[in-house]
Amino acid sequence: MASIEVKEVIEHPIKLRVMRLGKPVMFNSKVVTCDSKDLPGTVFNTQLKKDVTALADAETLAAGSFLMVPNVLENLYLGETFLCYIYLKNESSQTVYDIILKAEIDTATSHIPILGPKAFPKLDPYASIDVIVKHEVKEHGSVNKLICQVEYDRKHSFETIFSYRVPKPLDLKTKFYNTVTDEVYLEVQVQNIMSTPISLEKFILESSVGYNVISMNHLLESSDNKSIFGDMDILDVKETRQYMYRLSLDQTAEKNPTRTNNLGKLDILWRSNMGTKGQIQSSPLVRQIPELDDITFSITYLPDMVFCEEQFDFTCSIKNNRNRDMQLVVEVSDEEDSNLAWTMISGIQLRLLPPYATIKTVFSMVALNHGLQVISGIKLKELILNRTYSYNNFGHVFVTQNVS
Amino acid sequence: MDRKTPELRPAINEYFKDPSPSSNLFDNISSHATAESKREEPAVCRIFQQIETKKTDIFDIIKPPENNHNNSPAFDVQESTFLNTGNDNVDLMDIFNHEYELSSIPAEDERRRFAWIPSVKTKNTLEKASQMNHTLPKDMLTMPGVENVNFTTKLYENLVSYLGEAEAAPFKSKNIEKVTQDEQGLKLLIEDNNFSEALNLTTRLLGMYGQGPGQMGYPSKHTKSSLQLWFTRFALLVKICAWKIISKEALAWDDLDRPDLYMQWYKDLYGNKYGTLVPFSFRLILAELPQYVISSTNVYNKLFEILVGVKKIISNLDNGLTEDGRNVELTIQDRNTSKLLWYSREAKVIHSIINCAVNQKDFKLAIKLLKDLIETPRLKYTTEHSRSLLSAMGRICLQVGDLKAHGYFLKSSRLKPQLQGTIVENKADYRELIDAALLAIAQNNYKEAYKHFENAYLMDSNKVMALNNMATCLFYEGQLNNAITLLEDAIQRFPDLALNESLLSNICCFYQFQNSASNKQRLLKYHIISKYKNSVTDVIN
Repeated sequence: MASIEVKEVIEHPIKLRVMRLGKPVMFNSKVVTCDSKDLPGTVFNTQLKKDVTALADAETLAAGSFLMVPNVLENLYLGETFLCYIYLKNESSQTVYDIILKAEIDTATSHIPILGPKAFPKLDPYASIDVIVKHEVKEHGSVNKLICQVEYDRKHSFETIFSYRVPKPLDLKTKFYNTVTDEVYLEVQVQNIMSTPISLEKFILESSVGYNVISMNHLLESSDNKSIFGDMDILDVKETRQYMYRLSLDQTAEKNPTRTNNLGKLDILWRSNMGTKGQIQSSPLVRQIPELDDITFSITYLPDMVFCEEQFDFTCSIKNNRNRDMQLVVEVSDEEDSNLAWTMISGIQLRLLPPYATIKTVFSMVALNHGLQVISGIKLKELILNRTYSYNNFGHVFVTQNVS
Repeated sequence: MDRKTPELRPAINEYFKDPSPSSNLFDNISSHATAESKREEPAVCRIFQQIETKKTDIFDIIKPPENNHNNSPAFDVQESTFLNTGNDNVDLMDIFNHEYELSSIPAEDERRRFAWIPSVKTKNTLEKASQMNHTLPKDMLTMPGVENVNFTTKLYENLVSYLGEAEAAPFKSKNIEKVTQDEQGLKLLIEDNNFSEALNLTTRLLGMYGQGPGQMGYPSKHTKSSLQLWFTRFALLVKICAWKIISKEALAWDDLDRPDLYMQWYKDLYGNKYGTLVPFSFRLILAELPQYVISSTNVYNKLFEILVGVKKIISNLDNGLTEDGRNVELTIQDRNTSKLLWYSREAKVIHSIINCAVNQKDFKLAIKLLKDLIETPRLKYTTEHSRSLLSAMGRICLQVGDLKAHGYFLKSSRLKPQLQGTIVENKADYRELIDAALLAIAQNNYKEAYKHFENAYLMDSNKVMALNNMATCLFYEGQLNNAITLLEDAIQRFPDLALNESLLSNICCFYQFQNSASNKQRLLKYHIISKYKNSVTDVIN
C-alpha cells in the first residue's frame, strides 16, 4: 500500500497533498564484523562503531534507535487510529486569500467530519498549511475515503480523495456450554489476522448485569495471577489463543432475575509497532438459553470419599422453574445391584415450593461395597399436577475401608 | 510472506528517481537498481573525515596485551574473573582465582581461534587420512569459485559529465590498479570504502587459487589465506547487499565441514596442528545469509548449528579437554583465555540469532534469547554493555508494541553509575533520554519525545541520530519544513556520519511530500549522491 497519494489539479495555485502516517520504525543496522586478526583487520568494526544507527556498547545487536518514517505502511485495522498529514501549499508566486479547508471521512454507512471547515485569511507564496488529522476507525471495509475540500478566493474549490481499506484485525470465535445449574462456560478463540505480531495488552470479558465472571486464564498454583499464556503477551501473526470464562447468575440479585441471553462483551486492546494502538469491543455475546425443566435438581454438597458401611449425607437443591406452586414428595428406592442403600424414609412431603423458589434437602445413604459408586433412585412426585420426575445416575462417591 | 519485511525498503537510488529531465544523473545511477532488484541496499557511507573514535574493539576480545588499551570494551576481559551470577551451581570466582594476562603465545592463539569440532563423518575421514592415500572423492571436496561479475560504480563518470573533471576530482577513489595486488592492497581499498574495487580484487586474488570465475565445481587447494579472502569477499557482498551473487557462491561451502577445510588434512603443510581453516566470522556470515534469501526454508538452522558447536567447545574446555575434545594438557591461563574467547563468540552467535529473529519479526524468540543474555551472563559485562542490553530489550519490546519496555528502561537507569556528591547525579544521561523519548513516541507524545532527543543532542554523543529523531518528531507534529531544515542541517554539519541510507530515506520521503522545485534540493541530492557513491554499485556481467 503506497504511503503517499498525490492528486494534483494543475490549474490551482495551491496544491494539496495527503499522506497517511504510520508510526515511525526503528532501523535495525546490518552487522558485519570480524576478528581483528582476520584479513580486514579492524576496519569493519570501526565502520560499525561509527554507524549512527548502531546500538552503542552492544554494536553486534541490531537494536539501534534511529527512527525512520516508514516507506511501506502496515495496513490500517479496525480499532486503530487513522492518522493523516494534510499539506496545503501555495506553489505560485501570488498570495492566495480566503482559504477554507475541510476534511471528512466517508465510509459505507457514515459521513464523519474530522476537520473544519477551517478558515485561513491568506497563504503567502510558497508557504504551506500543515494539519494532522486523526480518526478512530470504527468500521471495517474497503470503501473508506478521506475527502479534503479546499476553497479559496471565494470562488475556486477542489477536493482530494484519499482511499484506504480497513481490514479486520482479529478473528473471534465463541462457544457456549450451559450447565444444569444454569452456569455458562464461554470459550473464546482469538486469532491475530493482521500482518504483524501484536501485544495483547488487554483482553477482558465485561459481563452483563446479573452475571458474575470468573476468568479461567490464570495458573491455579501461582500467587500472582500468572497468565496461562506465559510472561509474554505477544500474539504472532496467525497465532490463536483460547480464553475460557465461567459465568454464573448473580445470586444476590432479585429473586427471579430475568435470564438475559446477553452475557456481555469482550474488550480488547492491542499494540503493535512502536505502540500503534488498537482497541475493539465485540458485539454482545448472545447465547441460546436452554429450555429449563420444571425442576432443577442439583447436588450442592457431596463428600468425595466415604467409608464402607458407614452412613453419609449429601444435600441437593430443588428449584421450581415454573410460575406456579409445587407440592413435592421425595421418594427414594434402592436400585438392583446398587452398592449404595438409602437410610432414610421415602415419601417425605416437602413444604410448598412457591414459583422460582429453591429448597434444599438432605439425603442419607450407606455404602455397601468399595469403589466408585453411582447414586441413583430419587423420584420427586409433584402432587398438584400429578407429575413424577426421576433422577438417576447424578452423582458419584468413592467408597474406601475405614482403617482406623 | 512476512519474512521479507527487512527488505521492504527500496534501494536508495530509488529515492532519487526524478521525473524531471534535468536529473539525468540520478536516472543513470538508478539504472542498476532494476537489474539487481530492490535488494541492493547501500552499505556505509564513505568517510571523508577522520572521526575520533575510541580505539575499542568489542568484537574480539583476545588480542596481544600491548594493543589492549580499551577504554570501555563491551566485554571486559582485563579482569581475571567472570561474573559471579549469584547462582550456586558453580562458583566461577574460585575457578578463575589466578591472575593471568591475555596470552600472546602465537601457537596457543592459533589453536584457540581456529578450533572447531568436525562432524563424525568428517572426523573419521580425517583420522584415516594418515593411512590412506591422500585423496577424497569429488563429492567430499569443497570446490568454490567466484561468480563472473565485475563490480563497478559508474558514479564517478557521471560526476565528471555533470561537474567537470576538476570539481569531480575529490570524489575519485582508489582504483584497483593503484594498489598492490595482495591482501595489503585489498585492505587499503576497504579502508577507502571502495567496496566494488575491493571485490574485484578478491576476484583476481582468488583466481590465483584456482577459485576464480567459472571455477566452481573444480578441485582447488585451500589455505588459511584463501579462506580469509573468501571471508572478506562475503563480508563485502553482504555490505553491498548482493544477495543473488552471495547465495550462489555460498552453495559450494555447504556446512564448512568437509575434510579439506581442516588443518589435519594437510599434514605436510600444518604438521600436527588441529583446527579448521575457516575463520569463525566466515562461518557466522554464511549462517546469517538465509534470512536475506527469499527461498530459505529455515533461517535459523545454521545459526543454531554454530551455537551448538560453540557450546560443545565450551563444555570441552570445562571438562579439561582441548576445544575440539582432545585430551591434551593446557595451562590454566591458556584454558581461561580460551574460555573467554569462546564465551564471547557464544554471545556473538546469540546476538546474530536475535538480529535474525528481529528481522523475521519473531519477537518472542528475540526477547527470550536476550533475556537469557541479561539474566545469566557468561562474561563479566561492563555496566555500559549491561545497560545496552537492557535498552535493546526495551526497544525490541516497543517494536512489537509491548509497553513492558518501560521496565527494562528503568532497570537500565538503575545501573547508571552514580557520581558522588554532585547535583548532576539525577540528571538523565544520553541513554536514558533516548529510551524515554522512544517510550514517549509509543505513547504518541511526540512533543515530549522531541524534548528528550533535543536534550540528548546537547550531549556529546550520537548527535546525528538525535537530530534525525528530532526531525521525525517534528514531522509527526505537522512541521514538515522544520523537519527538513533539521535534516539538511545534520547533513551539512556531519556529512560523513549523516549520509547514510536511513537518514536519506527520511529526507527523501520529506522532499517527495513537499515537492518543492527549489534548486537547493537538487543540489543537495547531488551532494548526497556524490558523497554516497559507494552505496551504488553497478553490476556488469
